[in-house]
Amino acid sequence: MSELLPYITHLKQNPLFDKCPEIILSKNLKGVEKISFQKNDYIIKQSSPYNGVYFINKGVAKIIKGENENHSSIIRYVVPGELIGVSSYIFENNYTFSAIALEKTETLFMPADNFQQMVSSNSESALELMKILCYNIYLIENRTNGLFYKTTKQRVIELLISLCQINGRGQNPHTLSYNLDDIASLAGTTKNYLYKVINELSKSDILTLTKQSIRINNLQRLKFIGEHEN
Amino acid sequence: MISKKISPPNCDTCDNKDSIILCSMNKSELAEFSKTKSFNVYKKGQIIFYEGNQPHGLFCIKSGKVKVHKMGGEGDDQIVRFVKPGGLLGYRALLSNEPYKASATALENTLICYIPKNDFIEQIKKNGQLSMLTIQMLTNDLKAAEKRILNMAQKPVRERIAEALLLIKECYGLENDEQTIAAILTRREIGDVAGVTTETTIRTLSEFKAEKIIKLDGKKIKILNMSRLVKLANIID
Repeated sequence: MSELLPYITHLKQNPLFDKCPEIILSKNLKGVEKISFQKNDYIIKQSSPYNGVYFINKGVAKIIKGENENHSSIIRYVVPGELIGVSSYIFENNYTFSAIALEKTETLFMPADNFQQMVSSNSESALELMKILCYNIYLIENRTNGLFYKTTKQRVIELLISLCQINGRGQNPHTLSYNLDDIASLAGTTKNYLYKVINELSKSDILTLTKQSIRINNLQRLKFIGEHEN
Repeated sequence: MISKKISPPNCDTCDNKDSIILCSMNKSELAEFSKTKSFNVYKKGQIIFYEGNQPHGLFCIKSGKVKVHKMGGEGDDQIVRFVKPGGLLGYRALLSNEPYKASATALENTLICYIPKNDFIEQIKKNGQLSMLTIQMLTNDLKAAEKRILNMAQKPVRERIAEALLLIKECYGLENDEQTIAAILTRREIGDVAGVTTETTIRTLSEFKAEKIIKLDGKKIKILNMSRLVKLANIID
């Protein structure tokens, strides 16, 4: 039992299982393991058999989806506290997306059967899972709405601000170490146009582009431009 | 016009067997549910709920059709989805305890049952099958949202409009000639479904007409070549 304690403690910290009785948690820990991924490692490959969910403990991963590897788009980023694989949870034989670590990422893997058992035997966990799904849907629909109504510059700026918020959990909230192709994909634009916006903003010293990262020098100003861009 | 009083429908005898509520409950649970719910008739164009309002219950469509739509910054509309009889409305806001993220409007005269929030949540807590079906419905919504954003980012305009026509056909069905979509939608509404401007919608529909894929008769659209339209939509799952 004592060797399971770290896992129980960890799962209890997640809203999905914080109300789940320890007895149910401890009964379903077979196969639960910590798995670390290096930068650019696949955590999940699209179309591979669904075998469980991953809780992100540390690091950031991107979720991508498409017809094939060369024709895929980023759906969203996942950060510590979030989990990957829930959208394949019911009646799916295969994952319908890929998840790639953007930096060294530590996860807690829970096999599909255990996850199913935990959610179906605990109504509070089931309700919490519904909330997580609702939130994920909202994030995507909000971005879709943005693609339709917002200017590309506005989308790029809003994305940079949201990446700062994601980074806010780390050491350097204003230094964004993301691939420019990924940022362009997430903002729904081309890398060339992204460069154009970044150059424009760097001329006003709002941000600085280096080989490895984008440094946001003036977040307040960036927010102001985002709100008033038309 | 002669109006006729409509009696509240009984869940146990409702013919929308696909509804997750109906197929997950036994007779006594359904009878209990029927007692607590209320029932309303919405006229064509009437708002069922507004984006930003707090939800207090769940809407279950008995008959008619509803569009769920979001307002853009400039007051433009984007149609998120259509809901048919047996479908539910407002469940996401209810489950996440957040204000509605979109509005819902009746597209034709629509009969809707209304289930108070606490009754629905309590039923989910005690009925494992309803709980799992709700999760399944949400994962389907998530997949649809992902598909939609991928379409916006990757699909050319022609594909998006072809897909929008198929979606509208799926929702409204066809008239007796088995070719004409049984709906009168403006070009703007079609553009709202596809996520393109009205001008682009008009131009693309004209192209489809010139290619003899569809025939335009005012606001009516007749699908002349269904297989070509499906191919053009390049639908992937």
